[in-house]
Amino acid sequence: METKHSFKDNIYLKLFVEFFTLGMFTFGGGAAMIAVLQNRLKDKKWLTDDEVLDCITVAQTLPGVVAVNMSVYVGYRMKGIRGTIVSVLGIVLPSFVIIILVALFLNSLEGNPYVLGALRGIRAATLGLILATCFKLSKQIMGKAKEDKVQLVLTALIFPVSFLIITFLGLDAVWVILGGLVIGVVYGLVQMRREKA
Amino acid sequence: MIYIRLFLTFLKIGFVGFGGGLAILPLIYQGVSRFTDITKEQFANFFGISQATPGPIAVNAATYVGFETAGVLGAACSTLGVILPSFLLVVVFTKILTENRDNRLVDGAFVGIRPVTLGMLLSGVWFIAEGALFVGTGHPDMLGVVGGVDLPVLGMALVSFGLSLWNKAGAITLIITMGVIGALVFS
Repeated sequence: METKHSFKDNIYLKLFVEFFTLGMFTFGGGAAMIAVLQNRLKDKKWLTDDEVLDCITVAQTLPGVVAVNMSVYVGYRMKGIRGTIVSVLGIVLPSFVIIILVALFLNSLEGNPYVLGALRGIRAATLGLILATCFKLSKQIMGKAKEDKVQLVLTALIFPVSFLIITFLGLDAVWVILGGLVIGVVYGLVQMRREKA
Repeated sequence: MIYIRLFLTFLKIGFVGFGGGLAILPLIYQGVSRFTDITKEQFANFFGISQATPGPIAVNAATYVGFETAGVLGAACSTLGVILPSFLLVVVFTKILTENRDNRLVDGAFVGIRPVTLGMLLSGVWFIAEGALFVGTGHPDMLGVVGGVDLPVLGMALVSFGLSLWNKAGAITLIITMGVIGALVFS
């Protein structure tokens, strides 16, 4: 007898719902999206912790919309092109519908005291969430870097320096990423040489 | 044709927009003001809307500009344009990456970029904190603002931080709870 899979267990539906939820409830752009998705993927066992870290790194490194990049990465790793399509649909659909409704019916959201109050609360939650994600990811990254002394030193240096450059010098993050990429590839080359010797 | 121009304009923005967020809004205005009659006021209005609506800011901006200039079909064209680069680049990159993740150079690149990613996230914390916590002394009517610092928001942020760090509450639960508390308390 054929086993019946219930509709709720369908992985495509799960991907769609996951990214729809992310798009529906996350305010404030890229960093907030990363924090919420990292938080939710952790319990899902769809990807390993290392793969989630790769997903975040890739999403920030490649051009494009960070949240959409993450949905493509997760969708593709889970179910190829079809998984990608449902994930992207999921993350885009709430924006699409909400923005059109706002454009049609509300010219400004700024007047409503309840909306303003809710946004103050949401900003507080977002702030706490991103900071918590920073802590968790730095623990994970440092844990991986411990394998090798040079890697540990590089990581401990690149993190604060890139934060300072992006925040206070206002340099576009692309250049800092390229810097990290070059340092990392040189590190990889040195590793290869060391192994040969 | 307006639909094709919208699609191409946002396609370009999708390809060059790094990091995303509010930084790409001026880019979008430059791109669309050349062929649409969207006014500066309409566009400035979106800054307010983007703060108050969920979802990726670039996707929201694409939908808004497309809709204001060419209706639902316009919104669909510009949204498709802005997500297509992500789709193509990440699929190709992920495919190549999966096959070469153990390569020393690839792994090295990740070693170098990971801490930058962390720096970008912390920078995000910084900018949101600047806007959310340090509201300035020009709001005597706002509840709980002392010396220009929004103390209730600071408290709620710390609670969210703790609950999330020790896995006591999920992200969406926190966002909704704090939003409801904010709507009730601050209004």
